[in-house]
Amino acid sequence: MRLLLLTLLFLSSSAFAQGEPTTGELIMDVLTDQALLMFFAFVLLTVGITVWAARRTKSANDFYAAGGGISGFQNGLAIAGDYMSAASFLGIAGLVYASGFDGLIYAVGFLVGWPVVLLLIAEPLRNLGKYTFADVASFRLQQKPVRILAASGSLLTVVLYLIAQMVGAGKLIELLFDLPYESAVLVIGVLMTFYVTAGGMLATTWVQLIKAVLLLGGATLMAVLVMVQVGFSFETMFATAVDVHEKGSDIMAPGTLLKDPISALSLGIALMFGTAGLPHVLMRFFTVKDAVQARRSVFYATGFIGYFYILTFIIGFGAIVLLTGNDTYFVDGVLNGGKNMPAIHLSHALGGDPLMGFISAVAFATILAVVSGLTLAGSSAISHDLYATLVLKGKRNEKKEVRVSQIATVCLGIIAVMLGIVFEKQNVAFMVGLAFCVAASANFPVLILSMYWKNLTTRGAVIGGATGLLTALILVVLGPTVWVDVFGFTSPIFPYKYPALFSVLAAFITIWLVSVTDKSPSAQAEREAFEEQLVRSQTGIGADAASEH
Amino acid sequence: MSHSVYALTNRMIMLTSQQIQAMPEYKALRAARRKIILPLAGIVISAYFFLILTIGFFPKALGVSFIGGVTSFGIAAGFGLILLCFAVTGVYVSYANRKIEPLVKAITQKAKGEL
Repeated sequence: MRLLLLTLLFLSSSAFAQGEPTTGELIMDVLTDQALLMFFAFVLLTVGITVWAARRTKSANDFYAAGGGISGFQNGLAIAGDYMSAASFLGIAGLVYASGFDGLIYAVGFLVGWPVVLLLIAEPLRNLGKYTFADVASFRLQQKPVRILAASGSLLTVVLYLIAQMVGAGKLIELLFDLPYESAVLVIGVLMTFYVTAGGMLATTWVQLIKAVLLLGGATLMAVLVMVQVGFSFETMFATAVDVHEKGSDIMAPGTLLKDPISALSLGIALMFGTAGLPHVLMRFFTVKDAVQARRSVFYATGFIGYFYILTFIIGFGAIVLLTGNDTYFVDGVLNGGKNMPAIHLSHALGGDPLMGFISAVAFATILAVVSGLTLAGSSAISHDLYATLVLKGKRNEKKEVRVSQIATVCLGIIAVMLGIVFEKQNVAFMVGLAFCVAASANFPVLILSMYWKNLTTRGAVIGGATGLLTALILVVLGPTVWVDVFGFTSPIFPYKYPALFSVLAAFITIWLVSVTDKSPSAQAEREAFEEQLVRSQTGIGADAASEH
Repeated sequence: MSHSVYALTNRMIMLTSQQIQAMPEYKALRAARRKIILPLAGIVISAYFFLILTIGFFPKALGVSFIGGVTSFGIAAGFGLILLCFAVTGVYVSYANRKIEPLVKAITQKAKGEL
């Protein structure tokens, strides 16, 4: 334990020490010092918490679910922490800066899944499941095939999301902290592996809590400073933005993000239903005591996330108003650092080096927290769903399961670092969208139908879920983001960027068709078990004494 | 794998799911949930897809001025949807605490006491 800590500190400090100035344009010594100081404070605090959490993490329940002792408010904040990634903070602010209203489409889409989660998923999930959403999907279906499918969907979602975060993080840190790309990715990989292996869900939750408070605080400060500039009038802010923006009044209406109705609908489906199928988010419902706390968590989470997106929107417009025409932030007429940087530059314009240092450190902390949550979800899918089902054959052995989960975390950490380096030069912006698409096409249909549809059978869930997963993947590969942007062909085989409309439909239709035609005796038994499952998902009776899994 | 008998942790009294299903409180619980979940989910999902389809089919309409200034209908609709999400989750949580929780409690109590 102590050895791990020392290695970690050594690795991170030596990585920082080798950072040689690469581009002298943006990076100022002041920023690097202040941001580094604040970042180190965050790392020390979270490492301290992890050491504390490690002492309290003994059973599998502690490791996967923080012993179920997180309160609804804390969990709401932690869910918000898991969900407010650097991609949404920097990315949406950047999108608003570039095209105004289009950024709002993402902000709204990322939020609107939450009422659906609250109304349809949160309470039954808590009542039926233990550690992963596969617990729920396999409640009355056959454990082995359903868990393999759910774990595959989870792992794929997690890995896609991780790559996007790793590459984004590496780029950001390279720029902000003047650190070589590989070292940046390595520092993140080492820290997240440490949080998760040593402190499990308890440490991960606290990392999320601290990060969420820092991010909400920092974004609030920036938004208030922007509103001071425009006399607390949205109309003034929008009017000034329209005056100075190169697109003029076009920024107040939908632009080039969604060119046609199919794309609009498809993105809408991916964002709304993807949220309800993200394994690292669903996993958070098992950290609370009961359905009441699960319900409360989503209420708080929706509030925090909605508030955060409103802030992000103000920050994006603030960047239009305050950065446009200011040569400090442009190199040859292009915003320094690219399209994700408006929020960072705006923090400098609003509060000079100290605020920029703070916001940069917060962005780093944000990435660390999100990748930790993702890694925990991925390692749980491996140990609780795959290992416990395939190797232990359902015979519970908590010690072995936790051990495997820790090994899986280390492996995921190594894979994440390697993929982060491999994908350095690729445009990975589409990967978050793809992760949402896979979650919406493979995880969500199986989860929701297992809870609410009596006729779902194992065969339907497995074939239908796999159909959704494969359709999503194939259509993305054949679509513009991979076929044209990555492979370099001139025109895509599948014309739309967002395939969720087709893949989600394919999943639901296949699940329905294969389930209703399933006449096997086991399918009949699964249908008959539905009412009993419903009693438990509605009342929570028996949820404490889950002994079947 | 048997789900037909539920064990309550504290007193280990067994009861079948059929017995719970037969309780009037259970039927009331199902009705109470249905009454709130369907309308609220319907409101959020249709409001969202209404906006999405407007973006898809009539993007220009969203650029029209909302109250005379530059602030457009699109911006107002986006903010409105965010507020709607707050409102819907707030309404559900308050309804659930008032109507759903007592019913769940009643079922659990009855299960412990009577059987």
